[in-house]
Amino acid sequence: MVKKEIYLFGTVIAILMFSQWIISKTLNPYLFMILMYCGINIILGVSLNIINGLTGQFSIGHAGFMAIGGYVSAAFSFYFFAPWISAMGLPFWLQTVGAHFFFLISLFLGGLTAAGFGYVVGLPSLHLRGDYLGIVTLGFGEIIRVLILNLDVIGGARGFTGIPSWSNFFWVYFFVVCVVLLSFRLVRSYHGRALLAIRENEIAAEAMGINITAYKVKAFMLSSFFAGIAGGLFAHYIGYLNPSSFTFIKSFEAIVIVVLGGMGSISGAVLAALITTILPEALRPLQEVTRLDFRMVIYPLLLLTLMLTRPQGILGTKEIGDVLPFLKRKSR
Amino acid sequence: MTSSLLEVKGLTMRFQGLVAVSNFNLTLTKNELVGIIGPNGAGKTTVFNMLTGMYRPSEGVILLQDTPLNDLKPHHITTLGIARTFQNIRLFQNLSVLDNVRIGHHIHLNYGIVAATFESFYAKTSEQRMTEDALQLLKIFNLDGQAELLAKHLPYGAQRRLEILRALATHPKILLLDEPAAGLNHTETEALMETIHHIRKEFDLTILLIEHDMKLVMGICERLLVLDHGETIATGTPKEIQSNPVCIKAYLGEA
Amino acid sequence: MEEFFQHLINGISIGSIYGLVAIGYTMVYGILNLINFAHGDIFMIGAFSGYFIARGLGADQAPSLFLALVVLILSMVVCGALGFTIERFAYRPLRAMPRLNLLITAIGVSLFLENGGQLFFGADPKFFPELIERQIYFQIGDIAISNYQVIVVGLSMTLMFLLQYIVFHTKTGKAMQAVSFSHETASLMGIDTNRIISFTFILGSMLAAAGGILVGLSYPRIDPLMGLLFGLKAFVAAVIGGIGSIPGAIAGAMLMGLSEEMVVGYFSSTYRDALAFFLLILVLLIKPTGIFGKKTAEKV
Repeated sequence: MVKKEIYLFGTVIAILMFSQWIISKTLNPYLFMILMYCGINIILGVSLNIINGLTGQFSIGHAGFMAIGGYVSAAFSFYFFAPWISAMGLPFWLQTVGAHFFFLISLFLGGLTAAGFGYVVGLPSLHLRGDYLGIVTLGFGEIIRVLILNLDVIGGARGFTGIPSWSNFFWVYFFVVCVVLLSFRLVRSYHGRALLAIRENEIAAEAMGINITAYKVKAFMLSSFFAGIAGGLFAHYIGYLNPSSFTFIKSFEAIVIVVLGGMGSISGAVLAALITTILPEALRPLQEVTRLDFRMVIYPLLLLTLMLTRPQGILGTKEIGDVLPFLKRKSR
Repeated sequence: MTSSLLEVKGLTMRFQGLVAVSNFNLTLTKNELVGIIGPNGAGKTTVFNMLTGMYRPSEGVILLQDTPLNDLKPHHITTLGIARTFQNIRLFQNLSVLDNVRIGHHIHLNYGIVAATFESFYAKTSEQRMTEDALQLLKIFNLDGQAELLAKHLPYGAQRRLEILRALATHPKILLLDEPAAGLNHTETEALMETIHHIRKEFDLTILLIEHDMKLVMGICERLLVLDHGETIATGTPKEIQSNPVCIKAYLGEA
Repeated sequence: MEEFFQHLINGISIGSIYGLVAIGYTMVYGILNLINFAHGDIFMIGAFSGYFIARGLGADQAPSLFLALVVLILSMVVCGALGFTIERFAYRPLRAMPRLNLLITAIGVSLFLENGGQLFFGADPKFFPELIERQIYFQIGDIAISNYQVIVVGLSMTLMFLLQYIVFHTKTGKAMQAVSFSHETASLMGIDTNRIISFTFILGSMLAAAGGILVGLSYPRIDPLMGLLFGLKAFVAAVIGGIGSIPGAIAGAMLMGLSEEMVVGYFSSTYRDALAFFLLILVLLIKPTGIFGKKTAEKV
C-alpha cells in the first residue's frame, strides 16, 4: 500500500514537473494566466464542495477563507521568508530551492490560519440551519474583508504589493491533485460517508452514532484549509492582493462552481471550475465585434440557461467515471 | 450487577405546558421483546426520543447497564448500544442501499482521516471487513441483490426493512423499532414478525417496539406497555392486556 | 447631545429606506424560502428608472411635487414589471428544484442586472436629479431636518402601512399568508399560488423601487452596483428582524440604519460595512431565528 502511494505521488510530481518545464517554454503569458486561474478555481470549487456538496451545509464565505490564506501567506513571505533568502546571500540555485521551500511553508501557514478561522466560525454557527448558516458565513467573509481594509500592515485599502512571485504551474496543480485526491478518498472512507449521511438526514446520521457537530466542523476546517491554500497560490501568482478581490462575489463564484458541477460531484466541480474560468475568456473575441463588453451579461445568461435546462448540474451527483466508464478505476 | 439491561424510572417529558409523557417506568432484561402500544399522540415516540437522547427528559432517569443516559447526545448513546428506526422513514435517500448499511457501521471504524487519505493498509482492510459484514446483513432481508441501488428507489416495504438493517449495523444491545409494520401489507407483516424473531436470536438482541398492528404486537411481544395521554395505563402480557378493560376503553373509546 | 440627535434622525431616515428594501426580501423569503439576491438590483433599477424618467419628463429642470410623484409611480411600475418578469421566467420554472438551484438562479439574475446595468447605464456614477427643492424643515440648534428626510420617513411609513393593510386586511393578503404557510394546502383551498407569488414579487419590487428613488434623492450618486451591498445589508436587516416577518424587517432595518449612523458618527466610517454583519452574527448567536422569528424545530 505504502509503496503504491509513493509510486502514485512520484508519478504525479514527475508529470507536473515535466509539464511545468514544457509550459514555461511554450505557453504565452495570457494562456498561462488562464491555466493558473483554472487551477486556483478548481481548488476553490472542490474544497467548497466538501462543505456544500458533501456535507450539505450552506457556506457563502469561501472568499473570506481565501483572503485569510492569501494575506497570511503573503505576509509571511513578504516580511520574513523573502528577506531571509536575500539576506543569506546564497548561490542562485539555492535561492530558488529556498524560495520553493519557504513558499510551501507560507502556503501551509495561510491554509492553517484559514482552517483555524474555519473552526472559530464553524463551531458556534454550525447549529444554525440552512440559509442562516449561509448568511452568517457570508457576513463573516465581509467582516474579514473590512478588517483587511483597515489593516495597514498588509496594505489596507491600497492593496498589498511586492509579494514574491513564487507561484507556478507545479505548485498550483500539485494542490489541485491534493484536493481532488483527498476528496475522492474521503468519500470512499467512513469519514466521507459520515459527511454524506449528514447531508442526507441529520437526525438519522446522529442516530447512527455520527457526531454531527464534530464532522461539520472538520469538514469546515478542511474546506477552509484548501481555500486558504488557493488564496496563497493566488497571492504569490499575481504578486498583489486587494481586499476587493475577496468580496462575496468571489464566494458566489465558488458556489456557482459547486452547483454547476452537480452538488457533491468532485469531478463535476473540476469541470465547472474549468468552464467558469475559460468561458468568459473564450467570449472575449466577441467584445471586439460588438465593441461593448457583453461577456459579463452573457455569462449570467448562460448560467441561467444551464440552471433552467440542467438543474442538477453538469454531472448531477455522479462522478465523471460513472458517465464515461472507461475513465473509471477497476476497484471501488 | 443487576440482570436488567435498561432501567427507566419516572421518565417525564414536558413541552412548555404540555405533558407528553409522565412517569414512565420500564425495565428491560436481556433478550426481552417488549411492545409499547397506545393511541396516536400517546407519547410513544417521545419515549423513544428520550431513550435515544433526541429529547432531554424533563424528569427521570435512564440507566443502560448502570450508565445514566440522560445528558448524553444521541450519537453517544448509539455508541453505548441503543439503535433505533424511525416512524417516518429516515434513510439516506440518495445513497446506495449498501452505503446506508455501511454508515450504520460508523461507530465500529476508527482509522483516521490521514489513513483515509493515504488509504493505509489498516483503513483498507477495515473497510473490506466492514463491507463484507454489511453485505452479510443485507442477506437477512434479501436486499443483497439491490446493494448498489439508491435507497430512494427501493419499494416502501424494503425501505422499512433497510432501516432496520441500518440500525442493526451499529451492533446494538437494544434495538428500538418505531412502528416497523406501518404501511406494510399482511404478508409483509408476517414476514417482518419472523425476521424480528430471527434477528433477536441471531444478534442476541433486546427489542423494544412501538406498533399499531395488534396482530404483530400480540404475536411476538412478551410484555406490553399501554400508553395513553402520556400515562402508562397498563402493563402485562399480551393476554392480560387484551382482557384489560382500561385498555379496551383507551382504544375503542367509551362504548 | 445635539450631534446624537442628528445621527438619530439620519439613522431613522436611512433605516426606513433599508426597511422598504428589506420587506421585499422578507416577503419573498416567506413565500418561496428564497434569498432573492436580485432584489438589491431591482432597487438599483428603481433608482435608474427614476433617473431616466425624471430626465425624460424634464423633472430635473423644473422640480415639482407632482412630477416627483409621477416619477415615483412610474418607477414603481417599471420595477413591478421587472419583478414579475424575473419571477415568471427565471424562478418559476425552477420552483420544484432544490433550493440551492433557485439561489444560483437568483445570483445569476443579480449578476445579469448588475453587468447589464454597467453596460447600458455606464459604470460611472450618475447624479440623481433634485426632484424637489431641498430645504431645511426644522432647525433646532445644530440639529437640521431637511424636507428630504421628512419625505423619506413619511413615504416609507405610508408605504409600509399600505403594505401592512394589504397583507393583513385584504383577501389577496390572506392568500399570501396561506401560500407562505404551505403551497399545497393553499392551492387545495382554491388559491392560485402562481398568481399570489407573482403578486408578492410585484409588491416587493415596487417597494424596492421606492427605496431606490429615496436613496437617489438623499444620496444623489447612483451607480449600477449600488444595489449590491445595500441589498445585502437590507437582507441582513430582514434576517436580524426574523426573516418572513414584516414588522421584523422594519425593526431590523431601523436597528441597522441607526447603528450604522452611530458607528459612522462616533467610531469610523471604514467599519460601517462590517457592522451589519457583526450585528447579524450577534443576534443570530443569541436568537437563531432573529428578533421576531418563530422557533421551528424538526419533528423526529
